[in-house]
Amino acid sequence: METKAITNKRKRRSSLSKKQGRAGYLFVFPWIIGFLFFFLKPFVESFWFTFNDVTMQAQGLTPKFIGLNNYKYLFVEHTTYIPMLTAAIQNMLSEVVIITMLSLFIATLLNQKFGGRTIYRAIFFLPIILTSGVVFTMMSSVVGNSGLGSTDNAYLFQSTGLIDLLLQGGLSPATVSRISGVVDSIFSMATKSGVQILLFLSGLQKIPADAYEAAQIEGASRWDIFWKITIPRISPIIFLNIVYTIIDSFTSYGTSSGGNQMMMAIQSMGFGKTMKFGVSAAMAWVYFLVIVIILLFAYLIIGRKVSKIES
Amino acid sequence: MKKIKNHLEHMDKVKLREDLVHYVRVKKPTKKLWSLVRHILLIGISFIILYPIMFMLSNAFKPVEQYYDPSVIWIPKAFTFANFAVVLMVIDFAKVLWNTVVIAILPALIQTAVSMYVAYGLARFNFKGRKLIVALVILTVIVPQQTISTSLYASYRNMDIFGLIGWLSQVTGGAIKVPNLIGTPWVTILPSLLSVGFKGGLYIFIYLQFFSGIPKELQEAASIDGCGPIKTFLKIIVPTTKNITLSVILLSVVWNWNDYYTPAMFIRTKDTISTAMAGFQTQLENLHNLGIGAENIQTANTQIQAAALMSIIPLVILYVILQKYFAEGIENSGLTGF
Repeated sequence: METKAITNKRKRRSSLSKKQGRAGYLFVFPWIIGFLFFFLKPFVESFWFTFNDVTMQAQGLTPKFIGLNNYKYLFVEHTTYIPMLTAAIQNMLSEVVIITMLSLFIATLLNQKFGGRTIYRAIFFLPIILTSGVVFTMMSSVVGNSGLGSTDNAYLFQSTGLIDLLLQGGLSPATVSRISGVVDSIFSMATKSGVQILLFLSGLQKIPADAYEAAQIEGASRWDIFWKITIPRISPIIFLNIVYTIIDSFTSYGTSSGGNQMMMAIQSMGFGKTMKFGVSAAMAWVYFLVIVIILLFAYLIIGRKVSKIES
Repeated sequence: MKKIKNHLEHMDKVKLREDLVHYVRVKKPTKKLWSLVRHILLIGISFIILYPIMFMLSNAFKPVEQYYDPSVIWIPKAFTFANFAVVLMVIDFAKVLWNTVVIAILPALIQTAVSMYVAYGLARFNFKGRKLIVALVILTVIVPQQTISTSLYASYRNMDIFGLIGWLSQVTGGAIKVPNLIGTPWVTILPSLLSVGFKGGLYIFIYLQFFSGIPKELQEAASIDGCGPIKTFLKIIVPTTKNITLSVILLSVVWNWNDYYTPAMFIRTKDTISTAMAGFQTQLENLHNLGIGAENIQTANTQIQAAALMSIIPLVILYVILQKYFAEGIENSGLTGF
């Protein structure tokens, strides 16, 4: 009797999990079809293109196998590909370091209780809207074209005349350009940190107040509290933000004066005047593999530590 | 034992008194100083962020002559709508706006809904291959669009889904043709219907995090009441996602609105806001060569600022309406890492 009940229960459970499974597929099936057709097929195909000379005709793309020639072209003949790749990596590294610190700093400020913080929050998330667009790139280049050094510098200082003011104040041009360089990078970094600030803020708000209170009662300083309580608790968010920043940096379009030039180069190699789809695909694939390797490194260096702290 | 306890209590009291003295003597002034420093920092960074908007506002209403007038710093001496008139001459704004609605906003809304649907399945049901699918969703986020776009272009040009339509075409003797989607809004609508549209993986990921955090009881209670999984999803789950959904809608509408790559690559013939903006300067120059618009292309800057302002105003309005939900929604989304 009892065993029967158990087997019944087991049966019911297995049929429940089967039911669950079926329901799961019911929800996921649109994605599976979309993934297969709009992602996996072109993904595999583009990998195949890297070994081919690809021409576009009315009936579609026709590949002609040429072995590793595209890669050879990329690494031997193409003069700017490798410098562009290293520049993109350097750009990413500096962005990850600065954006992570800056956004954590701003999120910590915004997490404190003080008058007007809702207004500040609204302002600090504004870059999410403003900077992802062509308008932003266009505007900064337009103002830059009107002739004051680098784009973003000019953008910032053009009408305020801060550069002139500093020069008249007796500072050497070298110092002024260094100062303007710093403000320039704060500008571009602050406008790239919207999502990261948001994520950090959400992490900071999940830390229970009693964790801080206990530390305060024991006489820990703000500095200690930050390093021993805040940082360990938000370490998963730090990792998430680093990953987000790496991807964002690698997939963003730079301006003509700086930033990531790779995306534009890949695009114009394929759909520009050259129409070298095979080379374009090889460029994209090498670039993608570099991204994967860097993400893997990030996981090995930071991600593992994070999971240790969590457990 | 009791002695020690008493001693400890005594120590606590001493400590408390010390703390109080410390607070009044040291902490209060530093607190005030800190508050001042904080405001200076926040105002400084806010200024940097708001600068582009102020720049646009200042220049969009400026008569062109005043652009290089050094005595005009922020507030123009006279306000004018002439810049906007030139923009409207160059860009057919109503048409571009309508294109943007069809090509960018509609897919953004579809993408949000389908991402929610898919993420719910991934978060709340156990089935074979679930983990693999989550990993593949993340893969779609990592791969740059450029990697797949050549082949995607060919697919859109001959929209033959797994050879099915080609087969149908053969069977019907050419009555059904393999469609060419290049230049039509379908290149953004179709992928978003299958939740693999622009940044789709990211939205699935956000919802995945959110759904992993909601109590299981909600789902179980509904299934005991005899609701099927889809009915449970629509009636019980969807209403709980208000904040996060409004946030995702904000993000997806903004990102689609601003996306230049997809329409420039696959549509070309129909201008959206972002492609119209990208081509604005060239068009302005063409017009200038015909003797219309600014007398000097250098002074066209005020007109460019006017165009930029027009293109972001709808987003700013949307942001002002939704930013409250935005901050709340993401904060409560349970986004705590992988």
